Amino acid sequence: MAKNHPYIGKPDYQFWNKEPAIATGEKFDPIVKVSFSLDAEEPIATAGSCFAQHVAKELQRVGFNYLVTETPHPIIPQPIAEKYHYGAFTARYGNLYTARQLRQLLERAYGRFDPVERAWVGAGGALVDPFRPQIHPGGFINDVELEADRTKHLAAVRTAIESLSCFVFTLGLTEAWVDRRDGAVFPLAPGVAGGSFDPDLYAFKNFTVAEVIEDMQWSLAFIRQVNPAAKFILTVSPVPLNATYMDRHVFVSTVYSKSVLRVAAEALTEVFDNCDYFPSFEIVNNPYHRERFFAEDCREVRPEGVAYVMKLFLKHYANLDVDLIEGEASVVRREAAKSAKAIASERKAEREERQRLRAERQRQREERVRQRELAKQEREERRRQGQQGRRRPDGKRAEGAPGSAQARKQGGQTVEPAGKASKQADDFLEEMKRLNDILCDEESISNS
Amino acid sequence: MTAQKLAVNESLCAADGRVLVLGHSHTNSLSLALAEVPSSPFHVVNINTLEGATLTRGCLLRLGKPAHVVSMVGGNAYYQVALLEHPQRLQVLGGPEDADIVPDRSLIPYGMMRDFLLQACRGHFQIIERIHETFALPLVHVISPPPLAAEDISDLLPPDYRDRGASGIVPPGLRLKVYRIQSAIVREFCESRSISVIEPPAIACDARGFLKHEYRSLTATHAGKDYGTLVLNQIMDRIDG
Repeated sequence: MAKNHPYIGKPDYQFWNKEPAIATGEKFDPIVKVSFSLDAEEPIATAGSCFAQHVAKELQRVGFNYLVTETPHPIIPQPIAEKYHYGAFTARYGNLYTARQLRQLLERAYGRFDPVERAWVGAGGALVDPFRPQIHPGGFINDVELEADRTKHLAAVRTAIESLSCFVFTLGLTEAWVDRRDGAVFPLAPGVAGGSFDPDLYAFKNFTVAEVIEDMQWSLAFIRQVNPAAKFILTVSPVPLNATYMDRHVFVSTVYSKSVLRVAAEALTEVFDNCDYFPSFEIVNNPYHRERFFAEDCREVRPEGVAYVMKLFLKHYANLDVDLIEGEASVVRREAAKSAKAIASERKAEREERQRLRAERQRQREERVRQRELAKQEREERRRQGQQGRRRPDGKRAEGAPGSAQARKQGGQTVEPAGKASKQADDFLEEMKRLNDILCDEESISNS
Repeated sequence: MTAQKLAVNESLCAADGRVLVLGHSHTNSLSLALAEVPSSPFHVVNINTLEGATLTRGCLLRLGKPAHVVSMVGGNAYYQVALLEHPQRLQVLGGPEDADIVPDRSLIPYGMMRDFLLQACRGHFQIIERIHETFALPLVHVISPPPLAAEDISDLLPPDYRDRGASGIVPPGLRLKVYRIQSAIVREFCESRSISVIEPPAIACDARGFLKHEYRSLTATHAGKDYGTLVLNQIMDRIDG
C-alpha cells in the first residue's frame, strides 16, 4: 500500500537528510523564496546592531544605492567622516540594539518623545549623546554643539524614513538599560561610554517576545504610515551577547535573546506584506560550515561569514552571482557583457576627467608664471620711470602695483591638502591652495 | 637680508652665533624688518626659495651649525576654510564657552575641525620634526600671526578674487575661531616634542585677538615689517632668557 502522509511530495529543503550542504558546505542556501526584489537604484536604508554595519558596507561595496542621509560638511575628507561614523548607517544613529530603541528613535525624530536625559559627561569633560554615546569620538565640546548635531541627526532620520525604498533592520539584543523617569532606552549602560550609573535613575530591562513584537510592529507601521511603499527586511544578528546582566551564563542569555528576536521577526512577517525575514543568524550559525564563520573569540563574524550572508542576500534579492575569492566577495553580474561595457565606459570617463584636471592645473601654473613675468616687467618699467609700486596711504593698491611674485619653483607655503574629499570640496580646496600660493608670492615680492 | 632665491651651497654656512630662522612666507615679515638692520645674527630662510621648495635633511645640513634655530614653518593651513566662503557656508564653535550658532550655516563640530586642521598641518609638522631632529639644539616655533579683523578684506586679495566682496569672505569672528583651533593644535604638537613656542606679540593684537591693522602686510594673510620687528625682539628675548 502506497504511503500517504502530508510530507510526501514536499521539497528537499524541508528535509534535513536531503540537504546537499551536509557534504558540501558551500551549497548551503536556506532562502527558498523572497517577497520582492531589489534593484541597484532603489535607496536601501539600514539600521540595527553592529552586524548591520557589515550589511551597509557590503551594499555600498557592490554598488547598490545605499541610502545615506546624514553627511558631514563636504569639506571634511572621507577618512575623517568615517572616524565620526558617517556612512556606517543610513543616518548617524550608531547601533540600535533593541526594538524599543528603534521605536524611540522614530518617536524622537517626529517630535513624539523628548527624553529627559540630554547629555552625559564623557572623558575629559566632553559631552556625549546618551542615545549615541560612541558616535562622536572625543565628544561634543558643549551642549550647544551636541543639541545642534542631534537636531541635524533627527532631521536626517526623517529624510531616511521618507525616502527609503527598503529598510533592512538587524535585531540585536533584548537586554537594555532604561531611564526610570521616562522609559528612554540607552544603547549602552550609563557609565560605560559616558555618564555615570545611578541605580535610582536607571534600571535593567530584558524585553520579552510580546514587547519586541509590539515595538517592532509600531515602528514598521509608523514607517509605512510615512512611506507606504517601504519594504522591510528583518534579520537577527548572529553575533552573541558581549555581556549579560542576567545572573546566568552569557551563552544562555544569548540563546534566549536571539530566540526572542527570531520569534518576533517571524511574527512580523505575518503582519506586514513585503516584509521578509532574512536568515543571517541561521546562515552564520549553520552546522554545515563547521563553525568556520566565527573568529577566534567565537563571537565576531569573520569576513567570510559576512561575505556568505551577502552572497545569498544579493542572489535572492538582486539576482546577482557573487563569487567568494580568498575571503573577499567579488560581484559578477549575470549580464556580464553589459556590465563590463558600462564599467569600461565609467573608467574611461574617470581617466579623461583626471587628464582634464591635470591639464587645467598645468595651464594655471603656466598662467601664474606668465603673470609673474608680466608683473616683473611692469615693475622694472615703473622703476625706470621712477614710479612707486607700494600701497597708497589709504591702504588701496596703486594702479598697476606689482601683484605677482618673484620667480620660484613652487608658489606659496606648502599647505597640506586635507585628504580625499568630495569633488566639490576638492575643487574648493584646490582653489584655496592656489589663492594661498598667490598670496605668498605677493608677500615675497614685498621684499624686492 | 632679503628673501631672495638662495642657492644652497657651502658659502651659506656662516660662522657660529647665527640665529637660523626656517619657515615659509611668514618669514617675510622678519626679512623686511632685517632689511633695515645693517648687521644681525639672523639668517632667515624661506623654504619656498630653496631648490624644489623642499627642506631635505641634506638642505638642513648644508645650512651649517647655527647657535639657535627658530621655526616659522606653515601657519596658513587654516585659511583653507577661513578666507573665502565655501559654497555651503560653515561655522564652528571656538571652545566650550562658545554658544554662537547661526541658523544658515553648517556646523562643523569642533573635534572634526581639529582633525581637519591636524591633517592640513601634517606636512608642516613633518618639516618641523625634520628641523628638530637635524639640529641638536632646542627649537623654538613662532606661532603665525592672527587674522585681520576687517569684514571685507577683498582689497587685500589678488585681483581675480576681489569681486567677492564682504559676502564672499569668511566673517572675521569665524576666521579667528579657526585660527585659534589651529594655534592650539600647533601648541600641542610643539609641547609633545619639547619645542617651545613664541606667541604672537600682544601689542600687535587688538582686544579680541585680531592682528591690528597697522601690523598687517600687503596681503590678506600675513603680517608686515613692524610685526617682524616685534617677533625678532621676542626671539632675542627668548635666546637671552
